Amino acid sequence: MPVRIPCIWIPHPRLGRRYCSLAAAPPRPPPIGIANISGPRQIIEIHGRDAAKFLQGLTTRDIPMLSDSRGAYSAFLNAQGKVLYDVFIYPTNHNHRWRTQVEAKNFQPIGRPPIKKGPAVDDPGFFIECDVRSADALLSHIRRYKLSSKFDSRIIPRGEWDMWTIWDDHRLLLPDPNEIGCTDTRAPNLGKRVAVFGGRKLGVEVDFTVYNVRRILLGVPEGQDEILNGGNIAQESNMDYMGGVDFRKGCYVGQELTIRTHHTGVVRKRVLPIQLYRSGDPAPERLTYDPNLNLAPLLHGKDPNISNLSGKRRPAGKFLRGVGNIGLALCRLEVMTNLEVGGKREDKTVPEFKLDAEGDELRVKAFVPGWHMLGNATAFRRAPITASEID
Amino acid sequence: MGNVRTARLSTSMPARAAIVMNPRTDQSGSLMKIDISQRAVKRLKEIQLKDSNANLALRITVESGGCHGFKYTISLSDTFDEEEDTVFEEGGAKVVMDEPSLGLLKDSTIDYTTELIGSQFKIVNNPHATSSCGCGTSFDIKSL
Repeated sequence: MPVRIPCIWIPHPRLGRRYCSLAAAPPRPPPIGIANISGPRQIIEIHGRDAAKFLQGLTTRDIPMLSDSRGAYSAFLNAQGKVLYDVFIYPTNHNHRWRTQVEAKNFQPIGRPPIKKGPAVDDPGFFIECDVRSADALLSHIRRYKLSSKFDSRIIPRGEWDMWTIWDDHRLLLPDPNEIGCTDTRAPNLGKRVAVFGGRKLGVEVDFTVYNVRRILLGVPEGQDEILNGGNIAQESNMDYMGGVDFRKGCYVGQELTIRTHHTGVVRKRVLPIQLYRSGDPAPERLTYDPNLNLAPLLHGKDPNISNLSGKRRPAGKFLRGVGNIGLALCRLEVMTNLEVGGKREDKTVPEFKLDAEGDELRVKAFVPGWHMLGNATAFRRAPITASEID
Repeated sequence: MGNVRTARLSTSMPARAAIVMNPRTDQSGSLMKIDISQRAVKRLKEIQLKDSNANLALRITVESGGCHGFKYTISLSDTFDEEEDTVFEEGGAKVVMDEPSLGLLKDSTIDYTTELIGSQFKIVNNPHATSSCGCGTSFDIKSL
């Protein structure tokens, strides 16, 4: 039976602060887990002759590089290069359930009035997985740019196809060749994502809030609360490290700023996992999740700006979302971590930081995930090493 | 009518083109029109003459893509879709667009520019474009 834990993660306006602060934080994520994430995520289907070409012009990943069960993490940007929607894109043509569904729609019974046929089953089809709250906006974004492209687009209702995530702390998980999904490449061992037809269950599931805890511990932002619509460039949400941007593909919306920042710019802010602690307690050495220390609800409705203890200088970061005693924040790297950004840095000590909270203020410490040190994860194409290889 | 137009002093002065097929109106009900500059008319007539095909028209299509969201593609075409296409004519030169493209390009000017790096047809003065990329083929529009 699924573990249902009420928490601030549920995107519901009626769940106020009082309700949340009374509830316990979700338990620690198990080393192996399965979660149905159709609550916070939604699938948009686009299918038709021009679907692949259309997505190629609008998203950050190279669509012809996707195949069968190898979907991709990607994003829709605006013309100024800011991230609008973080998505996963999965090709669907290889899946027999999807094909059966399309063929049933296009079936013409003999002797009946002719039906209006949709795109053929071999025309490129894709599932676009996005935040449930931005699904309507993304669909109208797609329709705005559609013009005379030939494809159909629709929101897939929950229960028709559901998104599931499966993880194993010690193993790289690959989807089966006939599944619609992909390995979640955003951070090492994040698991895989699979679209499941007809409300079938994959096994003993944990609540999606547990998946969110694990994701935050790994420092992976997702959805409109953590990747603010039109607020930041792809690099600031770690999309370059998470493999969400192909820096070798041609023009797409927002490419100019993204690629210029990649080659010549400096990324001064990034989303990092943070730990919250009370002012009397010692600063944590390692990022550790404690479900019994439910501090995040105290921050609800307060100023999200993280400031130096003196509080005089400009904000060191912006708190995005929290659960229990951990969270994600957009941090100015030179202030909140010991990293060197752009120039040489003498003083590498990091002071303590605070956030306004109900009753008291809370201390904040940012951690740089190990996978940030691996750099840009454009894993699917090897860069030429020497000049002779380029020839 | 053609004689009146050629009497203009400046050859790049745009003229409001006549609609010869499928006039269309936008959401507010006003007729969607474009301008074709005299330079563009001259060049198009030359092409028609060279290919000895008086039906040859400049087809302008807007696609999504490019760095700013929309991009122009310009080609030559002598077949028109009865349902989708709108055909403009100015002094014998024809320009053809489908409906979604016309919606984004209405009130623009089709020009033929001669520059050091090459001569080409260009869409200039698009009143709906808010920003465009360095190469000028990609643009963004005010939200519809």
